[in-house]
Amino acid sequence: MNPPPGASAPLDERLRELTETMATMAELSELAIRKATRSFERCDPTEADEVLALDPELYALRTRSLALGVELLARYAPVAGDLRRITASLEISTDLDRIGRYAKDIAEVTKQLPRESVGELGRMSDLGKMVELTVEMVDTAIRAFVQGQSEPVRRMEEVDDAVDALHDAVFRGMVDGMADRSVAVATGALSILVNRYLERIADHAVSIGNHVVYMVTGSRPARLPLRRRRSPPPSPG
Amino acid sequence: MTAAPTDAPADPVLSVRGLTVRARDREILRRVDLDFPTRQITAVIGPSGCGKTTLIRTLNRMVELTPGLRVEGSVRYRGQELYAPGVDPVAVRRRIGMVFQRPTVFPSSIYENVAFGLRLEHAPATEIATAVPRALRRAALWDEVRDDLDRPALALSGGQQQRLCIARALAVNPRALLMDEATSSLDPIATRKIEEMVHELKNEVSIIMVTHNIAQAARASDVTAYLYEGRLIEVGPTAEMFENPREKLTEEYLTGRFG
Repeated sequence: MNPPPGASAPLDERLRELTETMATMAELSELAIRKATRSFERCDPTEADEVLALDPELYALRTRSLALGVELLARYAPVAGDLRRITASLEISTDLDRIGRYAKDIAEVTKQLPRESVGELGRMSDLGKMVELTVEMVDTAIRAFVQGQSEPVRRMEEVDDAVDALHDAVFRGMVDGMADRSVAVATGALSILVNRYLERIADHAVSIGNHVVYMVTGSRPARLPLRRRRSPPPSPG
Repeated sequence: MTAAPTDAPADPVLSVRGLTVRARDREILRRVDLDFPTRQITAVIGPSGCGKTTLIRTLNRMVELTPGLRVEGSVRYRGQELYAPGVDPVAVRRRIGMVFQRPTVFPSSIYENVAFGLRLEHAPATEIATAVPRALRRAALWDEVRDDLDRPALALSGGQQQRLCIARALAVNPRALLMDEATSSLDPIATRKIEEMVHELKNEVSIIMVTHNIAQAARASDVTAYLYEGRLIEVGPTAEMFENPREKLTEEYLTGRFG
C-alpha cells in the first residue's frame, strides 16, 4: 500500500497541511452561512439545495482534519506550541462542523418556508446584520488561528453581545408580528429558529476564539458568567 | 530565565544550591538551584553537553571519580550536606544508587549480582537471602529468574540485565535512584517494562532520570528540569512544561527547533 503524499514530511510541513485544511473548512462554513441565510431571506429552495450539497464536503474536511490531527499526535509526539496547535485544531474542527450543521439547518428551514413569506421577512432587517457579524466572527477567529495570534479574538465577546442583542430584537419583532397577525405563524416560528441558529453560530465562533487564545498563550480564557454570556429570553408579548 | 524552582517541594529528597562544576577550562554547571521531590520521578533533559549527566553524578558524588572536576555549592540529601568533611562517598553512593546507560552486570550469578552491595556491608546470609528476592521483585525481574538464580547474569537479555542492575541498586534500600539514560540501549518493550517498574518504585524510592528521549520524559516523569549550557533554564510539573513551557529556550528544545 502506498503511503499518502507527505506522510513522512517534517512536522512543520504537516502542521501547515492541517492549518490549510482548517482554513478551507472555515471558508466553506462561512460560504454555507451566507448562502443559507440568503436562501432563507429570498425563500429560495434552489440556493438552499446548494447549502445541503456543501455538507458532505464539510464533513470530508472535518474527517480529514481529525485523521491528520490524530496522525500527527501518534507519529510526531508533539509538545508545547505544536501540541497546542493540534489539539486546538481538533476542537476548532468540531466548532466548524457545528457551524456547518447550523447552516444546513437554516437551509432545511428555507425549504419549509411558504413562498409568500418573502414580504413578511422584511420585518427581519436585523437578520442581515446578524449574518454579517457572525461571518465576521468566524473569519476573525480563523485568521487568528492561521496567523497564530490571540489579539484579534480578544474582543469577540463584545461582538457576540451585539449578536445576542440582535437575536433578542429579531425574536421580539417576530413575536409582535405573530401577535398582530402581520406575520404568519409558520413564517414567524421558522424565523425564530433561524434567528436561534445564527446566535449559536456566533457562540461557536467565540469558542473558536477561545481555542486560539489557548493555542497561542497556553491558558484557556475563563468561562464568562451565564448572565454575561446570554441575555435573558425576552418575554413573548 | 527561570533559574530557581518557583514551586520548591516542601521535603525534597535531594536539593542543590549554587551548584557549579568546573573543569580545567570551563564551567560544566553554573550556579544551579534545584530541588528533587521525594517519591516522584524527576527527568533531567537538555541537549548533549548541557551538563545533565554531570548534575546527577554530583548527587551521589560519582563526579569525584572524574579527575579534574571541581564541585562548588551545596548538595543536600534529606537535609544533610553530602560534600561536608567526614561524609563517606562510598556510603553516599550506597544510599543513592545509580544505573547507567549500559547494564553493568558482574560476571557472576544473578543472585550474587544482587547480593553484591549487601556483602560489602557484611550483611548476614539470612538477611541477604531475604533481600535478594525482594529486590528482584521490586525490579520486576523475579518472575523471569526465580527458578534460575545461579545462572550467569551475562546470559540475561539487555533489558533483563538493566533490571538486574536496578535490583542490585535497590537491594541496599536506597532512598533515591539515579538513572543515566538507563533505557537508551533497550528496545521499546524492555523500555516499557522499566518505565512501568519505575512508576511502581517511586512510592518507595525517589527517582531522578537523565534522558535524551523527550517522549520518555513526557510520559514517565512527574517533574522535568531543562538544562542548557550548564544552566537550569526551567523546572516544573512535566505535564505543564510539555504543554506550555514558560521559557522560549525550552519550547525550542522540546519542539526540535533548537539553534
